[in-house]
Amino acid sequence: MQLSFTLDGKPVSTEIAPGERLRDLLQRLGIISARDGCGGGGSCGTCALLLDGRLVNTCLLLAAQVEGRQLHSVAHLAGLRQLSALQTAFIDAGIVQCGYCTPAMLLAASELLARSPQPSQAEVQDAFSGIICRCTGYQQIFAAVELAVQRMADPAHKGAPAPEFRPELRHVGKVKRKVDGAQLARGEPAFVDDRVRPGACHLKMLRSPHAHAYITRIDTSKAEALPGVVHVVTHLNGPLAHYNQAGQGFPEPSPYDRRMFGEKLRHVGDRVAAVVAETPEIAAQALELIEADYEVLQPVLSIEQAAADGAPIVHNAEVEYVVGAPDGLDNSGADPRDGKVIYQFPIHGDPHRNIAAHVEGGIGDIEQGFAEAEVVLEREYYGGHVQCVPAEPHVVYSRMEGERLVIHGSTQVPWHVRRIVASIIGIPENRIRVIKERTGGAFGAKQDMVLEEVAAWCTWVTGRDVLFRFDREEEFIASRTRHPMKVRVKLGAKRDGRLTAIEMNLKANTGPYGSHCLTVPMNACSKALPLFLCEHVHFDVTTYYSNIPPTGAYQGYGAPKGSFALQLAAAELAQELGMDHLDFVQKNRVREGSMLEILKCLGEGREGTPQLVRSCGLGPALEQGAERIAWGQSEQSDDPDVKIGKGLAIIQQGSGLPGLDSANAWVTMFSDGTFMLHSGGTDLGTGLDTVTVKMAAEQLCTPMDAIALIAADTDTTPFDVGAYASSGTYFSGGAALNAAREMKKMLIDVAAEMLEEPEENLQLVYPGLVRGKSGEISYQQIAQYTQSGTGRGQLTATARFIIDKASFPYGAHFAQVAVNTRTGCITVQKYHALQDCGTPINPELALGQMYGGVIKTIGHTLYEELQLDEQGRCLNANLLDYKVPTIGDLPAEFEAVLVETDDPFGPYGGKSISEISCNGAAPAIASAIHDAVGIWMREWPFTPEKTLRALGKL
Amino acid sequence: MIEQFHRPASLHEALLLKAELGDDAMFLAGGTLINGLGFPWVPAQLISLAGLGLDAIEQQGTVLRIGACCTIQALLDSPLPDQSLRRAAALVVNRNVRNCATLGGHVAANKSCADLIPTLLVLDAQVELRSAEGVLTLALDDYLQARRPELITALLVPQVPACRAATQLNHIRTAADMSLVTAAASLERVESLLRSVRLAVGGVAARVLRLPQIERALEGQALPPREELEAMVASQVSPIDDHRGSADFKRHIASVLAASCLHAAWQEADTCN
Repeated sequence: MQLSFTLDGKPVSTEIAPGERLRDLLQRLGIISARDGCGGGGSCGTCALLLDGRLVNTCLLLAAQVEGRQLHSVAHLAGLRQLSALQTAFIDAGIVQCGYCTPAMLLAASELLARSPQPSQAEVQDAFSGIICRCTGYQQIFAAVELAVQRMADPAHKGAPAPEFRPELRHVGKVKRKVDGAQLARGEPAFVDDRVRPGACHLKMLRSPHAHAYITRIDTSKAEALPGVVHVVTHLNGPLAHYNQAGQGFPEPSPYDRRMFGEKLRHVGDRVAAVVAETPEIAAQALELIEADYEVLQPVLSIEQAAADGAPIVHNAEVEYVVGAPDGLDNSGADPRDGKVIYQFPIHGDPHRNIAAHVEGGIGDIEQGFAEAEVVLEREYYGGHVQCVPAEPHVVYSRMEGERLVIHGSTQVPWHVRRIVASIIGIPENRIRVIKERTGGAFGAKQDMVLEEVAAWCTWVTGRDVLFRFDREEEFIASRTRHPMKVRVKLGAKRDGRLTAIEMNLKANTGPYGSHCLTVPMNACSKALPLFLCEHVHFDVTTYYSNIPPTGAYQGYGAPKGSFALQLAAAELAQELGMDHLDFVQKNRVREGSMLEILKCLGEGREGTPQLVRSCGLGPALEQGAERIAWGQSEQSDDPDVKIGKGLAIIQQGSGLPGLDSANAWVTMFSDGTFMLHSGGTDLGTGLDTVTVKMAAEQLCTPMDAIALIAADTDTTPFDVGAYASSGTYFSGGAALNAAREMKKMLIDVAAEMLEEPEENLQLVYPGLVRGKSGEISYQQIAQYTQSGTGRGQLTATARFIIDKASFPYGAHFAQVAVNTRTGCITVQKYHALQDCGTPINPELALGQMYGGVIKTIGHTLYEELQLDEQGRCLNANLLDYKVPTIGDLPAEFEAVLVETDDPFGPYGGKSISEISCNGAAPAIASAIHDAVGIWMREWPFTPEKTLRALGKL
Repeated sequence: MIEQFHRPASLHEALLLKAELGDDAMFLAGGTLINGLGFPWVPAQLISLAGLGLDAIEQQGTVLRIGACCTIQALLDSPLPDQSLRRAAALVVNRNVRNCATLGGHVAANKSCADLIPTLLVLDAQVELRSAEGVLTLALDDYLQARRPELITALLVPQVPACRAATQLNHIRTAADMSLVTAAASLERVESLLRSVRLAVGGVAARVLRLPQIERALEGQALPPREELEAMVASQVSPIDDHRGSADFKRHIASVLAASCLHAAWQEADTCN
């Protein structure tokens, strides 16, 4: 049928199918800024446009419904390549992170300001109520809108959207416009979806309906015969290699326990067959034509079930070791249909007992520590099963370029993807190029290669362009979740509150495959234990296989759960001792100059190193936080049903993995004296690209726009491990800084020759000069001199960043909660997050990372949880029933505060900022609930139902 | 699969089309439910209600006539409806949806957790239905009890007298959630006694329930304490266990919300005496 409407002021007339969704039509018309985060569920708002001036979800409309109506996309906000006041305000306020929801947010703001030019906070919340943003934590939207209002009145108004640091520096520590901000705010092509060429094939996956089963028969002939089907892959014709999908440094501490397609299915949603077809509709139809029979096995869902005598074995596989095979390895009972489990080195797993990994260790003598104690407390805590929920689901687009395979990815680990894909296909790495596009949120879920290798294989086999995009259900059941964990904490202390012994006994559920099976649970200890100084410490970690949806990395890694257990146990112990919680923390906490001996037994699958704490902002964080929340002062509600309490937690993380990780960068000089920075750093929306550009511009004394950036492309940038373990600022930023330092040396060297002055007389001067005593010379002159027929050649500097010293970010989080004793509802009224990230390189984005991490974990603490039935089927694999926080869920008083320290190892004193933000909410809220109503909530999430049961009301 | 999308030029034409196409055809208002995931079936024919003048809100004597195609947001923004109805409209998940979803569609979907239905019930709303055969007016509760083929063209809401008040509450997990359990109450306060009590709860049965036994029991009585009201409601509802909560939890919350609504309405009506 024919459809006519107006789009951004221009008439459009087009042929549509009667049932075509408006969003699909917009994609056909090239309006890519209407994104897709929920597969048409109308529950994320990223596809929203203005229809007759009102914000609507275009996935919930048929195209036919807009006949004769006016549609406006983000493109109408500014002409050509300009930015409107609204757009600059949003970038400057730090509310543009991954940018996937940015066009929808800008339209929400534009609708709001059109009807209410000076909106109240409530009006802002209402205007943005339909948009889910997992990155920013929404809080800075209020400042962004206010800034926009001011700029609309006065275009020159700069405002002060965030505090600034390091007055002696020009770019570092200052609010500067994010280098990808304009592209994202204009809704321009940036993401994987935007790279797809006409004629690309679509890949869809047939997934296991059973949590635990063997495929006994599979017949794909009818699917293959369907016109438009290009290729079908199953375990019968897929690649044979065993691998792990975890994007970790090689050799990984995660067992190679899967093939691309196996005969054994280990979770509902596991891969049965992939279909590549000309259209998504044909691919979906072909899936229904595949016949498969299953031998269904009893599923193993919990840690208890996995550990039980005679439990079904998730990997009844042949176990092999590349090095260090233990004596007495017995594979006699293995079933060949289970494939293999290949450990790169021992991590003390025993797959035939469902144990994927085990580690224990400690310092001092734990028995002695408990013998010295006057009070001993032992408690068990449980952290549930949560999902990362990036706004953009997993997506990959692969294509051939001559004899080489090109993978456009939304990934945290381009180099690991290249390595693993090469090994699976069996080709050299130099035949593969991985390009990391703008990433619509990742949060750890995109550290693992959960779809790239299938698309890559299909492209390699067929030569066709292949797009593979998860829908929201697949994101829940077949990407990554956080390991459920049970943590038993035993503490011993003297009556005066001094800790004498700490023991953590942790059991984790890794689900069907062992990605991060050692390191996530171990990290629950390594990022929790060093917060308290204690002579006698012991930990024991066991990770079990099961048939729940796959687990892996998620912002904070294991730390949020370890932190919850240990911090809450400390709160319980303080109460037992009759001590104020804050006093107890002050008495036992880590501080600058502490030597962290415990870290020698907490390496990632190898020997660790004790570390000296060289910068630690915990003191001021605790002091300022206590003042902000009025610690010790009790609060009363006007409503007699509501009780109010306060709680706190101290937190830490790392900054990358010293001794394991490395990052590299190049700086190349252009003939006009500007530079190209080639960074391996993988920006996930966090602002890392802005960090690396700032590093180079600061060091080279240039404006930021004199540094063009190319990043995270395995062909054109040097190796970087990727964005995980909070490594971005420290490692990738450090590499950029080191490369700029090398370039600086070259500039001085050349200038010395040109000016005929000794090097020690020369210095770099903003904006791009080398000045000596006798004169000065511009970078452009240097470039022309070096690049001439008699010059030494184009200046190119390369550098790496490696380190064996660790820099830990620290923080203190304070919460005030209200507990409604009739409904069980918990409201976080106030939340103050105070964090030390050394020098905040991008202050406005650092605050956004903190708000985002906190609000996400408030969600985990209060309502987020994957729910499985007894057959292992997920009951809430959608955004209607897996609820994530929205703007209306913000604490009424919500503040992130940067506590400045100067770290001696990080670039310009910077440490990590993002992951640590996830470690405080659960223990701070739990201890506040106790303060309010006297119950200890030891199991996430603290739902109203659980709270009512704990209160004895149900 | 949707095979045809009809844009009738008049209401009359829309009704004739429906009569002709029968069960293969469905009326389309805002589309937020029909076009969303999880809608149980895809109709072959859609009859658009856009542009047929069904979106007006008009005061007709003592009755407020709300056109079925009035969006929830328009209802919320209008000064005409009783404040209780506007508060109920504000409960609908978020602005993006409220900008499209219509009151008629909301009522026709007859969902257990519909945010507006409890309030419409306690306001004694009526449904105006049309078909090619003619027009019919039904009490909302009667409409909800049996699936009917006619098109809802309007909701008719009697004016709320000065000494009457209506309130509603809902239980949600996040600020932009569908309601899991809802309650609404209305009453008149005659000196210290209750009159014409209406009480409705949602999320505890396949559709929103009026609780007539409790309404009758409260007639002419003093307002009982909350605990007593909670026990009365708990004995009248039988929710099911599911992933959104256990039956015990839902029963408890429905009771708490209903009791709170009655007490809040009593407080609000206080000023009218």
